[in-house]
Amino acid sequence: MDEKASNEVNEKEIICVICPNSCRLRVSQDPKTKEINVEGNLCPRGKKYGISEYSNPVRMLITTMRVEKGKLPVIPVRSTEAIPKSLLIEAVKVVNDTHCLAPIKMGDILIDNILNTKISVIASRDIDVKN
Amino acid sequence: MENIDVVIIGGGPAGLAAALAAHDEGVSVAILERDHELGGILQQCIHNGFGLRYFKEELTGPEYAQRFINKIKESKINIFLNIMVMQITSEKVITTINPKNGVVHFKAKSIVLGMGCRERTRGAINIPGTRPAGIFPAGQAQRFINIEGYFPGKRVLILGSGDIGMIMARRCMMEGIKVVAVAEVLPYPSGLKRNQVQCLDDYGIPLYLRHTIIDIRGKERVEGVTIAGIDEKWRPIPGTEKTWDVDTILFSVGLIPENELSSNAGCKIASNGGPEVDEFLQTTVPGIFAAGNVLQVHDLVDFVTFEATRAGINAAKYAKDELTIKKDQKEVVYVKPGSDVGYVVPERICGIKNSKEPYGIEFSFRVKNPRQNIIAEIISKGKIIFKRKQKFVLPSEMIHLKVKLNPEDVGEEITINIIEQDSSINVIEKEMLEGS
Amino acid sequence: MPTSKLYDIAIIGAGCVGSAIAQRLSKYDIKTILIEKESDVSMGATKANSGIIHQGYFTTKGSLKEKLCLRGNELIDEIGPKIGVEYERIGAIFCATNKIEHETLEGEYIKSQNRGVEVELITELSRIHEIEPQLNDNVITILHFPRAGIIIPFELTIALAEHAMINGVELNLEFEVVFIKRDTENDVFEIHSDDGKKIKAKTIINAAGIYSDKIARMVGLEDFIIIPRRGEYILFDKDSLPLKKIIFPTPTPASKGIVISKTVHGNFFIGPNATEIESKEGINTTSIGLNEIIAGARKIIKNLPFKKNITNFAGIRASTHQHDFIVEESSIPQFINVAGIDSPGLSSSLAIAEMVEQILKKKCGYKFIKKGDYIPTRNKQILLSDLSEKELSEKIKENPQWGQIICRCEQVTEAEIVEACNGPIPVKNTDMIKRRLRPGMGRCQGGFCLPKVMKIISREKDMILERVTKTGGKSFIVFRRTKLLSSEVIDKGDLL
Repeated sequence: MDEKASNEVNEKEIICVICPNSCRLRVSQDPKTKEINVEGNLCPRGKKYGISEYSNPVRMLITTMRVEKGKLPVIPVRSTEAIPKSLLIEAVKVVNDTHCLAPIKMGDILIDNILNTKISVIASRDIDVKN
Repeated sequence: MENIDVVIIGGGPAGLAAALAAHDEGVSVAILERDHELGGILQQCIHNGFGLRYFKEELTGPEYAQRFINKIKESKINIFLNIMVMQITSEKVITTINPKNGVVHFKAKSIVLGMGCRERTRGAINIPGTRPAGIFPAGQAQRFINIEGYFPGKRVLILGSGDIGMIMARRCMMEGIKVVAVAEVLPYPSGLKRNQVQCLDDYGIPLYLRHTIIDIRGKERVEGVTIAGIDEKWRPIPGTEKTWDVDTILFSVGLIPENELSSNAGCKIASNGGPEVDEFLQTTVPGIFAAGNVLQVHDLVDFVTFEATRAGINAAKYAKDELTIKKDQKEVVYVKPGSDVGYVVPERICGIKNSKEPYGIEFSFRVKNPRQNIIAEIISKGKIIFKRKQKFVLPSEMIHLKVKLNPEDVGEEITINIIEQDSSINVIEKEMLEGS
Repeated sequence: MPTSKLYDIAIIGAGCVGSAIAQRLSKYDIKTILIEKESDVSMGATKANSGIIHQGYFTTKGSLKEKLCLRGNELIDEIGPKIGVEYERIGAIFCATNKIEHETLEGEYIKSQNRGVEVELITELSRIHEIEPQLNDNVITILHFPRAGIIIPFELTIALAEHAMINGVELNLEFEVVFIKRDTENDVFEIHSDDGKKIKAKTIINAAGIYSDKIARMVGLEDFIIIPRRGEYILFDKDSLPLKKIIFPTPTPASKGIVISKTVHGNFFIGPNATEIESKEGINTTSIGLNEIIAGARKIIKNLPFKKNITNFAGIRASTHQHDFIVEESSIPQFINVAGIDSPGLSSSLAIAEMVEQILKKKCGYKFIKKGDYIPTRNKQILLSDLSEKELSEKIKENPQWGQIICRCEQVTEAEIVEACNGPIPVKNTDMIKRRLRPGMGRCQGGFCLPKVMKIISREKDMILERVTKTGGKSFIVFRRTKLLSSEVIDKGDLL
């Protein structure tokens, strides 16, 4: 009984975005072995996607940061790699509370180790100083 | 009068790639850009997903642009910023104005048009209601948020599920702007599945397929919006109305190639809104070439880069007098969009009839409907002269066919068709209809 | 509150009629003020109508509409060039597609000849299609009025109001009249606004359009009510259909029908329908209405270029049950009603002003003494399109803003916008710039230029970008910065 209940809670439907097939994956985790099971995928790439979306869904952090003395008031920024989806909104708040000083070059690290993820937030472009 | 071999109109992704390609051919090149910086629309497309085909890595829009800008700055390409092209003549004299130098004329040996496109507006699709503040084309809202750094509103409804619409939905949520819904007139989302999942589903934003806006309320600022389901003749279905109090409505309802300059230069405009071109991407005015969204609205910027590179090389060759095209109209082969094909680029082929060997051509086109298990076929003189199977085709994705055709197989005209291998079912459409 | 100045005449409502009256009175030594509730002139019925200079056709014999329309049609030649407003006498045609309609046109042909109007009835098909090649093949007869013309209603109104201001008429915008007190002892009206302002005048001219019944009731007059009627339009891109004429179907007693006409800027429009509505602010378009005008246009012309429509809009008409204009001194002395001005109101506006002048002279005791320093002309603002290349080069050398194109669809420079910002009527919002110079009127509908126009207004008028509106009031365009620096003060006003 217990086992069944936890199984139901565990199952998630995930739409695979790897190719236009858009397989509806049913992903669940065995409570004992912790093994993740993917059904409904047509190819191995779908299985891999299903496991990653189920166990640790990640997204790139993409937003803007305020620039002081820049030619433009904001600079587009991104995380160096995808961060856990659950941290996304909190991470955006951190970026919103930070500002940087022009000039800035593409790739400059603007926030190091955001929310202790060991992932940095970097500039997406150059911004010169306002004349 | 400034004499320059190749003049590039527009410093967006098409112009940047065309300029570099022409420059590599050893000719003098100038880019004329109306904005204060290069990069075009990429500068406001701050999301990732660019460059997978061209750079084999995933970049944001500004990063994709910056890589080209850095290369251009190292080159001898002349960059003119804050300059507006007022007129292009068929003799390739370009009239410009800018605040520093006033009216300046350029005389080019060849020109690459890279003006991009503009957004279709609410008025162009006859959406009724009042006309208060708070109604934005999605790209303009994107500019306000990503470049100017201002909130265009607090509560938003988006019409159109193209990639820009869905990406703006996520961008709004990121900045704390509530997106109440996305409505789409088609029975399927018109952007990529990936964007539907990561931009809408991730944030629980409902997508209403086969719905459109039937009323906009508000005198000064938008106060509310009503959408309704539509029937097969696109008429609102009574009883399906849904109303929200919103202060903002974004329209992401298509892009239109920006061809007023091309048309005034004498370039013939094709049915898709871009100039009619041959296999060298040359318009009907000799020496004027076109690439990127001014020619056809692309799905991926990488393809703009590939296309503009070709246009840049051909423009440079033309300037060096190395591009030999027979101008005899009898030798031209016209390309027609056939079954389920919206348009095809190029619209005509000039060189094939004089070729002694199989002739390489790159076609790009879009389908009218989502289809599964199709065959793309090229027909001429009543015979199939090329075919390729493809698992999926979507109107949101451009199709590229690189083919080699035998000159003797080709008549005055060739047609490109999309046919289903198994026409009894159309799985994608069926599923999408059910889904709505 | 300081003692308010006493005016001779207060005109309530700065539409084409109010502004025409102001322009007419500005010639004389009369202290005049023009009062308007909106942030600009021409914001009511004038803002969105067909923009046609009619030629008296299909008006009732002996009506004010007939008399004033014909006179107004003449007066535009006298006044238009002086105040720098563009118009074009392209001619109007009415089209019949069957025998009954043909007979209606024949009847109007005789009436028009009796009016002394230049008119032609044409049944020869080859000539019909020569005159207007875009007509459907089922058109059998046309009635041609060559002296009808086109004008942009708000351009006329702005020109009239500005010319009045150059000659000393005051314009008080954003003054919504909420009550009027009659001081019978001193023979003075006190006009009060919603925000506590007060204007004193000896005479009131009620030209408040859709609200003229409301204004009349403030002095106790209840002799007419305004029935708001909505007319919807669709506007098409420049050069999308080479129309030569203003095209009407054969009118019915209810309406002139769906018009197809080009504009002086090379666009063309179809519309209006006519729907009685309850709200005086009901300027929304509807699916039904838009379909109605499309169907109407298709009956008369062949090739409606469907992908070339750029916007739709609705206008409001101030009709009455009287079915004729009301231009008279009311039962209250020194209170003149100019009301019920629906079609052909724009065409008649200059003649209405002339008639009001007569009323003021004959009934209100005004002596019309010409000002010594009257400036007879208003110079039209110089536009990019007026300049040769050489002239433009010189302008840019003097002022680099002439080299900065802000609107590419309509080709408007920064210099033009700055000049309009600092014109006689204080510009405060983007629609005011749009009505003066057209950025945002074109095919991209401001997609490219809106942020740029906002920045120029913000700089010229020294206000933060968040305070720049589309049409005044609370029509704010952006809310606030997405991210603030600690040095930036948060604007606490609730903008949205």
